[in-house]
Amino acid sequence: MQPTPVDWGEAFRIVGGGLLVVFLIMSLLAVATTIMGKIFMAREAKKKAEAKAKEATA
Amino acid sequence: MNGWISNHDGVLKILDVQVGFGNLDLPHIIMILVGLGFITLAILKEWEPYELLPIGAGMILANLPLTGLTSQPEPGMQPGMAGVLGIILKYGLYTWTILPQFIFFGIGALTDFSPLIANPRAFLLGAAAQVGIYSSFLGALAVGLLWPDWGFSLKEACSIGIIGGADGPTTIYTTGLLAPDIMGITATAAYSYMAMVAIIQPPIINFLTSKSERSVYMKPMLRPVSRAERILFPIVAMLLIILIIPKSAPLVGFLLLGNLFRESGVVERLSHTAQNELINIITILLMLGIGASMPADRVMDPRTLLVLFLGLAAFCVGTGAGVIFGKIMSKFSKEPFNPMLGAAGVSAVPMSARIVHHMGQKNNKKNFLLMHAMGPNVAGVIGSAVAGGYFLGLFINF
Repeated sequence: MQPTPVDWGEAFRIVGGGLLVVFLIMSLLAVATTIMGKIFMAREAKKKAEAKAKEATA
Repeated sequence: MNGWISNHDGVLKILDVQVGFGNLDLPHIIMILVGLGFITLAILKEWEPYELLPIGAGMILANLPLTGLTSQPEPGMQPGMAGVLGIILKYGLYTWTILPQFIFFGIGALTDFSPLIANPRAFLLGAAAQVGIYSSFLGALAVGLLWPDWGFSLKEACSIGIIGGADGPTTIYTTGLLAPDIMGITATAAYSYMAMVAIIQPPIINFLTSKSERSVYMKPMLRPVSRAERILFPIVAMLLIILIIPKSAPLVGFLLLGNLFRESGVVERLSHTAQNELINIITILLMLGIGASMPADRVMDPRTLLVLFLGLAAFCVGTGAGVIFGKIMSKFSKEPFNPMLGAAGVSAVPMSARIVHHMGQKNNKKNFLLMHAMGPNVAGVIGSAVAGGYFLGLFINF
């Protein structure tokens, strides 16, 4: 296959876009997972506190 | 020649039966030897044996003359004329490209994302390690400046760059769609470099970090991750990634679908099949196909060496970028953070994580980094699939 001459402007746009997309998606996933974790941990803590309170009243 | 030995149209015949020896030339012999080399490495060194052994076998079968094994089905072809390897190549890799997706499905069913869910900043290390992909993409394009005859097109450069993700199925899927001519060599490079993680990564990590950085102690345990989180994670990640990069769906979708099967806990048989029988069968077909995609006439090209070199460079740069990003993160982290974890951002699961763990223990015997390193390692799988989807989105319209 004979390659066509390289359009370096397009090549750097691809690189910039690619890095941006990868970091954006991974950052969003990190944020979403952190929020998810906080919600579930708070729920767990609440459940434990409720169970402790029940135990104390019993 | 007449009588019981004859030669028609360059094909040696004995008693009118085609004989392979007469058609064996030097390039085919070299490829058969390379195939034998892969088999030897797989058996004696146990280097990625599940991949390199069938790849080597496929390579040998594809380069034995007159077998017809790699003849691909074509319209109007007589029944039985297509070879089994040709059928695998055409429908599994070139036309339908379904095999890498099912491998991802199996990998998803095998992967525990808990270390990543427990430590979400590992996502960023998984992203940083993808820098190697883009550096080799540029490197592949720059080849044309030095040697115009050996230059690579944009699509080929994408396929070469993706080797740096150290992710076999992503490399195969992306190359199968963008540059099928170099698929065999890019896939072999990806799996070979994954097998050589223990040789490639430690010198780079040692070069970029000081002894004190490598010795940073981290608490061995991560927080427990609830079942609900493990179930929600693949759903949330799938929706988020595919809505941004739809072309990553064949890889990311299948990876996270397999993981949902695993974590749901209600389709035990399906999850078990994905983790065992399905992934094993697909591995046999896919790796034989990869080996078969390397006939001598396609591989015996100076550009093959360039692909191998650029792939290695991508892997090294990815490792280095991960470590440098790890160093940056360690400066901002409230808790002690070992920058070596960045090297695990390449998606060679679990080899990279193991290397980081071993190096951590070598420098500080109390350190137990495995669970910390598994986070960026599985993030790397997602990151390379996203990078592959991005490349496909540029060139492929489904």
